[in-house]
This record gives sequence, C-alpha cells and structure tokens, in this order.
Amino acid sequence: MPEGKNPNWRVWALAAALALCLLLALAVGSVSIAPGEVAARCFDALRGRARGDALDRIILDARLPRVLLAAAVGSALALAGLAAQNLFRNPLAGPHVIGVSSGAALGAVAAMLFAGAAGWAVAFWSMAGGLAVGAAVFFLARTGRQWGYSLLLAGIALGTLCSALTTGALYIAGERLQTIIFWLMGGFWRANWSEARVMLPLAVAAAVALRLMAPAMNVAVLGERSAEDTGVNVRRLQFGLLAVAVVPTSVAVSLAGVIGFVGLIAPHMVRLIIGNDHRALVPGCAFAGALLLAGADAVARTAAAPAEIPVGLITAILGAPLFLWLLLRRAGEGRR
Amino acid sequence: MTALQARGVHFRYGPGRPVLQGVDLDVERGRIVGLFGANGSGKSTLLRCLNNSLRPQAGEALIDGRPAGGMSRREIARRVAVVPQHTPDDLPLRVEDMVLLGRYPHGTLWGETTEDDRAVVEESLRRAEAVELRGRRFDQLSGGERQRVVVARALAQGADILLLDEPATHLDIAHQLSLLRLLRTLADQGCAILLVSHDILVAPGRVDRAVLLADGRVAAAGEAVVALSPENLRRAFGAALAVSWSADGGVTLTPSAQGGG
Repeated sequence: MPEGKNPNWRVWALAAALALCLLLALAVGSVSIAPGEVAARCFDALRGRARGDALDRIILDARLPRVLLAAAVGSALALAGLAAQNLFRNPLAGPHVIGVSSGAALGAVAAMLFAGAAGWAVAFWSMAGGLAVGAAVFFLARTGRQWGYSLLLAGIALGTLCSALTTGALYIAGERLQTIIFWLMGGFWRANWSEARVMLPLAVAAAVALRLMAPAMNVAVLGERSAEDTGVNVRRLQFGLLAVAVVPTSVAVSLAGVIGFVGLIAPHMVRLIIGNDHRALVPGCAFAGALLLAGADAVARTAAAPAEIPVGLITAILGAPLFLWLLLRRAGEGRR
Repeated sequence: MTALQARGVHFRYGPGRPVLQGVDLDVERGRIVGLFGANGSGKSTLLRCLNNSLRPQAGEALIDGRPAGGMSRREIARRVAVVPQHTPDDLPLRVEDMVLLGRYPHGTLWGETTEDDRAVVEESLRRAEAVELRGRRFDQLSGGERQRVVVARALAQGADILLLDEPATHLDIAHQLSLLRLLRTLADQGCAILLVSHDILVAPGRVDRAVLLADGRVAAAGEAVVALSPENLRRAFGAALAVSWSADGGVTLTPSAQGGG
C-alpha cells in the first residue's frame, strides 16, 4: 500500500547495498583483490576493453558468473516468495508452499538416480518437475470455489508427496547418495556463464512482471471479493502470481538446488524496511534477495576455504533464527 | 436513465437449488433502494450479480443501460462501487492509503499515484465524513469509523452507483443512523444507492423504495410502508409481525399474537 512517507529512497538504498555486496563478493576468494580494482576491471570489460590477464580471468570468468547467478537466483526466490505471500494472503507462504521446490528436487533426484543424468539434463528434469507440480496444483485448485485456499491445500499435499518420493529415492540411492544430497543442499560451485545467462534475464522478467501486478497486489490484500469489486481481474492476477512463483523457482532449483528461506525471509525483511506498498516492495525484494544470496554464497566459499559450505546450509542457519525473531516480533505486536 | 437494473436474473451455485429465480430490480440516481429479506433469501447473491462478480445463468444486469457482462472489471468498478459486508479489520494501513486503493480502476500501467488521485481521496474522505481519520491506522479504528473509511474507499472509485451489503451489521444504533444520514446526503448528490439489509427496524423508514426478496423472488416492491406490510413480511421472514409506522418514517415491529416460525 502507498505509505505516507516516500519509500523510494529506501529502495535505492537497497540497490546501493546490493552493488556494494556484489563488489565485495567479487573481491573475496582464494585471491583477494582490492574492490577498487574489481570495479575498474568490470567497467573496462563493460566498455569492451577487457585486459584478458590472469586477474581478469579470475574476476570475469570465474567469479562474476557465480556472483551474478547467486544474485539472480536470490532475486527470483525473493520475488517468488512475495508473489506467493500475496497470492495466499499468508505471510508464511513461500515458493515451497506450492510444492514447486519439492517437485523440482524430485525431478532432479529421479533423473540423477534412474537415468544417470548430469549437468543440463539434471537441470532440465528438475525444471520439468517444478513446472509439473506448479501446473498440477493450478489445475487441481481450479475446481475449488475458494481459489487461493484450495491452491494452498493442493500445493501442500503435492509438495509432501514429492518430498516423500524424494526421501524414498534417497533410501535406495546407494553409492550415489552423497552426490545427490550435496546437490539437494544447494550451491553455486558449478556456476558458469551459460547458467547465469539463463537465470539473469528470467529474474529481471519476473521483477518486471511482478511490478506490473503491484497495484493489483496492493488491492488484493482486501480479499478476493473486494479486490474484484475494486476492478481487479482476480483470476488473472492469481494466475500471474502463480506463474512468478513457479517458473523462476523451478529454473532456480534446477541450477542451484534447493535453497531454503530466501523466498520466505527476504519479503519480510523488505517489508520491515520499506512498508507494505508492493510498488516499492517488488524492486526491494529483487534487490534484497540478490543481496542475501550473493552475500551468503560469498560466505559459503570463503568461510572454510578451500572447502566449500553448501549455500543452502548458510541461508538456513542464518535464516531460521532470523525467521523466528520475526515470528516472535509479530506475536509481540499481536499482544499489544 | 436508470443507473442499475436487473432483468430476469436467475442464479444458482453449481448444481444446487436456484438462489435467484427471475429477479427484476431498478435503482435510479438520487434514490436509495432498500433490498430486504431473510438470511439466505438471495440478497447478497443478487448484489454480486449486479456488478457481474457472479454471472447470472439467465437474465442480465444493466449498468447505465449497458449489459454488465460485456464490461471489464475495471470498467464496472469505475461505475459501481461496493461496500462489502466484511473488510479485514487487521490491515496495518493508514486510512489515507486505504482510501487510495479505491483509485485502482483509474490507475495507469505502473500504478503511480497522481495529484488527481490525491484530490479525489481528499474529496472522498470529506464526503464520507472521515477527514479527521486520515492519518490514523485502519486496524486501530472503531467499527463505526472503519465503516466510514470503507465508504470513502468506495467513493474514491469515482463510481456514482453504490451497493452496500449489510453495512450496518457491526454498528450500534447511533452509528447506523449516522451511516443512513450519510447515504441520504450521497443520494442527494446524485448517487444511486442499493442498500442490502436483513434488518427491518432502522433502514426501512429511510429508503425511497423497498424491495422484499423471498426465496430468490421479489415478494414485494414499492414504498416501504406498502411493501413491508405484515403479510409480505410473514411471507419473507416466516414470522408473524405487527408493523406500525410513525409520522417521521420510524417503524416499530412487534411479534403479533399468532406467534411466528
């Protein structure tokens, strides 16, 4: 909703924080590079004057695609979370609630286990799994009269089924168990330019699509009926929100595994900073999601170097306490 | 031209019992029409058919003479505003921002707030007698204050046809009367108002025309004094009631000696 104070500068502040975070993420690693040097090299490359030396290769070929992929996945997950929370008018919803992450994970695990798939084939089957669950949830929910409600229930049911099947697959995985579990924990160690080139435009498209829905999302908090009476085409909005919650998430899981909590946490953090106006929340979430995951990935690859901590572990370990804190804060507000 | 019409509207939810069975209704500008009936008589369903939230299986709703079925949601919302039975009361919004949501059907692609929007919000708050609430939070208002804000939000849509679904349900008698006074002022300003109510104590004396709905059909329509006769009320509510009208339009109902069902 529109706030009395202008939230625009807060969005720009988030954008600035993201830029700083990306710069630092590019600077840290096995070779430390001065952030100023990183910035200069990036600008040179943008102007087509890359120097092509060893430092350039580290920054532009090794680190940049990974940092950008992490940022894009973070954005996509945060936007998906915002879309899901508005769709279900439930602050605890996230992309996982519609079962998409579970479907994508099942697709990937099944492909690795039964078809011996690797690389892009895993990504493909993971995406197919996520989209299949998203589509199934959508068509199951169409039969219900209370659309948002039946969507939530169908999502939880299918998500639980997929998780159970994944666990079953792990049970019979034998010697592949470690590979699969490592994949499931999520991470960007395989990141390369071709993956970043898929994920970046998708995250931008999701942000633009969701920003176009923002005015209707503001009205949607009044409830389905009131939103309709106020001129919102509720079905179209819900379909759009579902698409933003499903498509980028499926692709993100296929490229980076299951990364928890970003989709749930980022929208809440941004609400605390920016307020409830979706016109500012959408860009805010895009920036904050990118900031969180690019930051978490930088920690993941440097904290225990040369070993790498799965980034899903970092987001969950940092995310869960943060989430509990938000929850307690909410409960405290409820009592007042 | 008649602002809002229902022509032979039939509606049923799924394969169930029909809720509306050929309802005709007219609401003109400058008038308040009261739609009365027992719980489950089809009042709210009719209201939702009138702005095409529900599509009648037969018959049609006409908005300014045009079939509502052929209009987009935005187009309808610019002409017809609804004051709903329930508005979530936990919305952490400032009143001004809540009313601004009513500008949605006039919004641009990116939905930026214009000076024009601000002016309309100001005017709507004034008309709904809610100016002094402007800076407060919606979830911290009393029931009566909240209802005025919801009316202001409806006015901000720029629509001059207002549909109110049991707007007085959570209001005490003083606030009910003040809401009805507000509706009269709006009607005098040229609004067409349809007031849906199961309450036949306060509203009937203050509407220009009463329509009594029973089992999805219009049981009676006309001046409230005539339409809400004891026989008609018994048919609509299944209760035997004695009705007496005072000179200023007040109505007193007493359960009559035969008892009621």
